[in-house]
Amino acid sequence: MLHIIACCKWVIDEVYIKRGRGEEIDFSSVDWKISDYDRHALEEAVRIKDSLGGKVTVLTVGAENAVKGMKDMLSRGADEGCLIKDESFARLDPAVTADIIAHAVKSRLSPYDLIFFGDGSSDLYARQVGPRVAAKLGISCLTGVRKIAFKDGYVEAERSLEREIEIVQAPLPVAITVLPEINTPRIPGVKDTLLASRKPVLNLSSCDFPDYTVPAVRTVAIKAVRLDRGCVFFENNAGGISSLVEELKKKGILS
Amino acid sequence: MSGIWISSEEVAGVGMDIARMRGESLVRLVWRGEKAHISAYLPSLIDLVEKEKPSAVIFPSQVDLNDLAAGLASALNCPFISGCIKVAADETGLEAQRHIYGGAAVQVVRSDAWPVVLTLVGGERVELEGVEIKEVFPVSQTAVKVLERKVKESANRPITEAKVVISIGRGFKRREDIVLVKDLAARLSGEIGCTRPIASELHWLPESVCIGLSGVQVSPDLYLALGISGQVQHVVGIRGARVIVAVNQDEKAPIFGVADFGIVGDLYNFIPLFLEALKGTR
Amino acid sequence: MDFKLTEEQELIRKNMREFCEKYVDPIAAEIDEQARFPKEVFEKLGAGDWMGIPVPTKYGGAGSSYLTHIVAVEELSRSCAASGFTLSIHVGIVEMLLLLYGTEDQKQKYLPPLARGEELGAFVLTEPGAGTDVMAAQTEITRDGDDYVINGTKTFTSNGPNAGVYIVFGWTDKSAGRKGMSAFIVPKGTPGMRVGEHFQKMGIRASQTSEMIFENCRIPKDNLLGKEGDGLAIAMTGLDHGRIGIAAQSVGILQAALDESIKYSKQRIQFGAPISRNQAIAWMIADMATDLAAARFLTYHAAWLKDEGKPFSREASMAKLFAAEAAMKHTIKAVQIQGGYGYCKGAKVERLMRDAKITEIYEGTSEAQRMVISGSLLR
Ligand SMILES: Cc1cc2nc3c(=O)[nH]c(=O)nc-3n(C[C@H](O)[C@H](O)[C@H](O)COP(=O)(O)OP(=O)(O)OC[C@H]3O[C@@H](n4cnc5c(N)ncnc54)[C@H](O)[C@@H]3O)c2cc1C
Ligand SMILES: Cc1cc2nc3c(=O)[nH]c(=O)nc-3n(C[C@H](O)[C@H](O)[C@H](O)COP(=O)(O)OP(=O)(O)OC[C@H]3O[C@@H](n4cnc5c(N)ncnc54)[C@H](O)[C@@H]3O)c2cc1C
Repeated sequence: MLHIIACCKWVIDEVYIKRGRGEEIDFSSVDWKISDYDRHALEEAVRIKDSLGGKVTVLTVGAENAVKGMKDMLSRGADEGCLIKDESFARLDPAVTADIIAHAVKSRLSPYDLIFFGDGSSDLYARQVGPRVAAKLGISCLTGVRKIAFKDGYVEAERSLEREIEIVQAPLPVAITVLPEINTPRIPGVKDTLLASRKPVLNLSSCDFPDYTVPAVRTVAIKAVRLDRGCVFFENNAGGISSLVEELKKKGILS
Repeated sequence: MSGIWISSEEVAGVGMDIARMRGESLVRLVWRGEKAHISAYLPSLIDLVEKEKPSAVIFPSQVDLNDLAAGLASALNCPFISGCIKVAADETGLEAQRHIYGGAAVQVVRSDAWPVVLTLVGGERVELEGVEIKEVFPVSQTAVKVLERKVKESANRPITEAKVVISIGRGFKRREDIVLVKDLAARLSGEIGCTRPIASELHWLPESVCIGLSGVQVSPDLYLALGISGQVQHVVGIRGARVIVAVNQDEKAPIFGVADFGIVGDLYNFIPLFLEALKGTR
Repeated sequence: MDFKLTEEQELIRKNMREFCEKYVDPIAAEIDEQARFPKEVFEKLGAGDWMGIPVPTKYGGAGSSYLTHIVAVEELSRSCAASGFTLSIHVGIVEMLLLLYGTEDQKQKYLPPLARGEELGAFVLTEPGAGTDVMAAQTEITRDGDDYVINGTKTFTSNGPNAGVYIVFGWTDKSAGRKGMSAFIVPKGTPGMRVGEHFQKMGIRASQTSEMIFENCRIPKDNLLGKEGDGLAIAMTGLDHGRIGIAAQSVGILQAALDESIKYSKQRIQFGAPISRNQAIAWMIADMATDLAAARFLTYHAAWLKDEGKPFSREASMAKLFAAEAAMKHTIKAVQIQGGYGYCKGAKVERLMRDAKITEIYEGTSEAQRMVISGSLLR
């Protein structure tokens, strides 16, 4: 009987991000979704449960509207939810999110065997929560995972690094952050969605957690990126093209 | 507390800027030992940092190094700003920019506490001489064991997964000229895509690499459009590209309206010049 | 007043959108071109409980509301109006009629395979000589011992060639006038029922439409739906429900036209600027969006009335009339916005315009809707 925890973030769907006046983002008509990679994390958790038996708890940390997110998550095969919501949790630094998750897992969801995360969230893409939760819990973390198998009580995982594939073995419990190529998430059927609200949910709020020190990292601005990309022109000669190459290096495309 | 530590020369540019601003020295880490799982380096890195107390530790944004950065920040309980595209230090702290919402927006963050851990996307590589070095050794025992390592293949990937797509349009005069693009694709580990006329009318390339409304949608890091007018049916397929470079001899071609970088000129002149300019890069 | 869908309905809509992006959008143009029924899509819809949303779970459905079904039809129609219509007639007419008029045995027998999408439903009313004028029907159904025998030719039967369950209307007693028609459940393969001509259509080409020919087609009396003489009332009730579905289909088409128009007009450069900067184009889009909003509210309102157990026949007609005419009007504009590209095969707006036309015709023409609406006001 495995206990698998899948952590999913409820995020603004970036396709709705529009540029308002100046560099402001117009958030007036945004829709929300489960962070893309996290859907693969949840799907992987459910597939493992389906093949090896056990229970999947889907966990999310967010603001009031995460209630709808929890329904969406529960419609994707999880058995129960852990909804950690508070208005003050709307824009958490990943470090604090990780502290909250680690605390909840330790105090309310133990014992556990696997904790799944997406490799990065669709909004912040900080890639911190998985490894930080693992560090807090004192367990190993396998990041960038695109394939998983179980052998003799160990997890065998294929990690996708920049230039190589690394195949690793780790004991349970372990934290795993997944890449989207690991699986194709299901599209919930109508009944899955309707039944989601009947699944048990553990509701937690800020009073269930110790006061976390206000993170030293503050967001001072969020600026929309222009959709017309403000084309910068270069001359079609050696000088112009080497400047182009320099720009591509700055963008991290060439090195 | 002193010293700006960088994990490699790839991030030396930012490291030097911060060191200069704070009047501290730059230190480069050297990773010793057989390459084990990255977690093997964490204990000695933490020891070293706790002992020597650098102001900042900076890594390139790579899968393994990001793990190390997160583990370090967690142990030190210090700020970690990941995936920075720009960093500037000032009197009190530093300000960094990072992409959010899939690149639709930029987040500007400040940290006024030291130490700080950073990972950089596309940092500026600087060859360093005479800079102080600190060695990091792996521990011999880790819970995670590496069973195997394989070098990734880069050829024949589906175009939708390619990191670099070089796409050709009717600006190409002859089928044979595609050879020119093959060189370029090989050089950039990229795949070749095209517009509909190239695939469906001229049959120079398979339909599977036709990009746009009636073809596939791609989101590579680099999309290089050569001799493509940029009609709407084509450009809907490349919106997800991180950087779009367009080469077209017609300055009014709509492709420039959606490109990051543009070159108004003959693609036949462009290709050899570009190949030449790529020589200094990896 | 509450203009909100429930969270579940919003999620269900999103899931249908995702389903469409994955399974429908990639083939929509091709099944239109080839006039092919996308069996594989409907198998998947069945597996996801989309084919029986308002059917109670004990009959294999999802046990949700009619409005939820309407939202699903709208979203599916946005990608493929033919498939949206197939879903609408299957659930909105055939399943609803079985639910409302079927005996417990009939519901147990026919609803589960329909709700699971294993069988398709068909509504067999129109005849060559009896379109708007339903009473001009010729089909006769005579009692013979424990059986009934159907003779007649029906036309324009959607899903005719590929349905599993047909609801067929005809005269059991012509002399009784409006009380002389009856409805029967005829399973596929019943001897004496066969598919006649297949129609080649201008739009919704991925929906199969055919004649249905009945020659001494014998069915047991257990297959009578409702009571003898209820036929006309049953047909009208079916159409009342179905019309909300056609309204939803029109709303889906209209949404797609708006999406295409916004996208195209912002990207098409003429005279050095996107064509959307021209007021002439911008106002087309404003009108389109306004009519879309109105059509959607009328449609949801009619479905809401139905779910509340309130009379909704007139509102269903109003929704269908308005949404259908708006869809036609604005898909023409959507083609206009795309100029020559919009007129060519492969442009989605070209298909939308052809698909939109049928919404003004079937399940009662716009003229017939005006007759229903005015009739109910001037009674
Ligand atoms: C319904 C529909 C769907 C479509 N779907 C797609 C689709 O999915 N994908 C797609 O690509 N197209 C599609 N099209 C076609 C699209 O509208 C354009 O016709 C097509 O993209 C144009 O291809 P092109 O840019 O290669 O050719 P052109 O429009 O002919 O452009 C060639 C460009 O090359 C430039 N050029 C010429 N010589 C040189 C030179 N020596 N150096 C530099 N530049 C040069 C010219 O200035 C010109 O801008 C679709 C069209 C319709 C109607
Ligand atoms: C693709 C398709 C699918 C269909 N699917 C089905 C189905 O599944 N089941 C089914 O039973 N039927 C189906 N139909 C039939 C459809 O419902 C009829 O076509 C429709 O009711 C109109 O009938 P008609 O075509 O005979 O036109 P007619 O009734 O001949 O009408 C012709 C024109 O005269 C107008 N008109 C008629 N009477 C009046 C009046 N009194 N006052 C003013 N104007 C009037 C009409 O509005 C129309 O404009 C389908 C039709 C099509 C084309």
